[in-house]
Amino acid sequence: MVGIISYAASLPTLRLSADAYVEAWGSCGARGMKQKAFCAYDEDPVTLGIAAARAALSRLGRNTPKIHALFFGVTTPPYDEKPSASTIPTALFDYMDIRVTEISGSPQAGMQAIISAVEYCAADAERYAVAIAADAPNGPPDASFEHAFGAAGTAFVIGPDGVVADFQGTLGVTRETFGARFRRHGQEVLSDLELRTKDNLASAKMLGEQCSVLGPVTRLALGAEAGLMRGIGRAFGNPDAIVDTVWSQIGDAGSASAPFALASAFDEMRINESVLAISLGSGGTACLFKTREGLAKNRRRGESVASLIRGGRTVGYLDYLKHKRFLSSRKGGNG
Amino acid sequence: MTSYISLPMYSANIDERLRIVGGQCAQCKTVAYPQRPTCIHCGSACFNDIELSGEGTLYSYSVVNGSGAPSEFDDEQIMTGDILCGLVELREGPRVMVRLADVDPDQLAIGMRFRAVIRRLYDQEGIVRYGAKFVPVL
Repeated sequence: MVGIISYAASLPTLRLSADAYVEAWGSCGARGMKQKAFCAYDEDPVTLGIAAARAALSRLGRNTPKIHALFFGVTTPPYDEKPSASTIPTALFDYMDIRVTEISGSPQAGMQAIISAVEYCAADAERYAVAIAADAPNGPPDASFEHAFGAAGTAFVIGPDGVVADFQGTLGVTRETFGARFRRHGQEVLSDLELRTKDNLASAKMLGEQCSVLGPVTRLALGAEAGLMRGIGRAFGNPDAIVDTVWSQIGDAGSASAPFALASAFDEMRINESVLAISLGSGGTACLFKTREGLAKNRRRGESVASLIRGGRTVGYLDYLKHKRFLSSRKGGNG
Repeated sequence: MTSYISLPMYSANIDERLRIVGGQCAQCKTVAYPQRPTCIHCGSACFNDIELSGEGTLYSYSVVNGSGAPSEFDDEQIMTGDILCGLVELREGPRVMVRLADVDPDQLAIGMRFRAVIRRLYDQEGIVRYGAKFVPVL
């Protein structure tokens, strides 16, 4: 059955503790977050995506197949036009006969990349694809919702025989929402009117109502903020499901949040367990995977998510502002 | 001061920059990185592409502090501090001049093991120039 044959994650090199916001602003707007990972001056979603994809492909060693397509889910690519998805395969492969698709515009982009790769491979049993989700959302430094924004990358190699995890099915809901997390064309930072309409919880409940058609679920992977995660088990009619906690350690990684939580779940799962990865934003996308016999061997060949989180260098708030280019009048040459 | 590299030149050797592709002399097997027109060992002009490991040891290094960096690194230096340059001896033999990252100047030591990662080197003419930097092997 089509599914995941390898996976890996990446994190940027720098960390900022929630305490840094308390010292700088008097409080941290990201309740429940202990620290976050964020991009150094020379990192971005492209470099994170390359790092994750290289790690996922290296886990396959000599069994690395020819990759026919690459799907890149990202909301913060360096260009509005000029596909970053073409930079990534140039860094990975010595061939150019590869289809690239860049998916953007929503925190769902990462999960949509994974589902697109699965459906691409399901259409032809000879196909292999790489799905990459990498992101580094930005907010204005004087807005409390900026405090949560971190960064991460993940990559999943998809093939006709998912020895790491079989694809079981997918769900989707779409809801028109206003005021929460939007960015007009040309803007560098997100806006959020903080209307507290709980749109994401409503989307999660709608997904939860459909969830029974996919089968039993033992884990939920969202990478979402603590407030939403508290109600997520009930929303899916499964209060006993194991829910990831990566958000408290890396922050909000945008479209990479749910894929990163999925990689974290794979690091801890046994064979024949099921995990539902869910991304939310103007609706939601969910994807169910069931682990298989190749999972343990694959994860032994690379660095775990827990190890990535432990790594990195913690810096202070002033260095954070400098690395994020908030204090640069030239924005690294763009200004 | 600048170390300007035109976009056509950057594009022409993009495989060198993003995948550490070197040239192996067809005559004597000497590896060149960056690629060059003539083998420094036997003078042959015939090379085959070879994807290098991107791993090596620090042969020498220099710390550029103050405002001594070329202009394309000026903003990075103001925002993040010292620019670290290294001469890394790759596992396959060539010594290559590179940017070092994720290491403090006082941690640098000759013989340290480094590996290549892809990073944003600088922005110029509206284009992000990605390329290899070398980070310590932990």
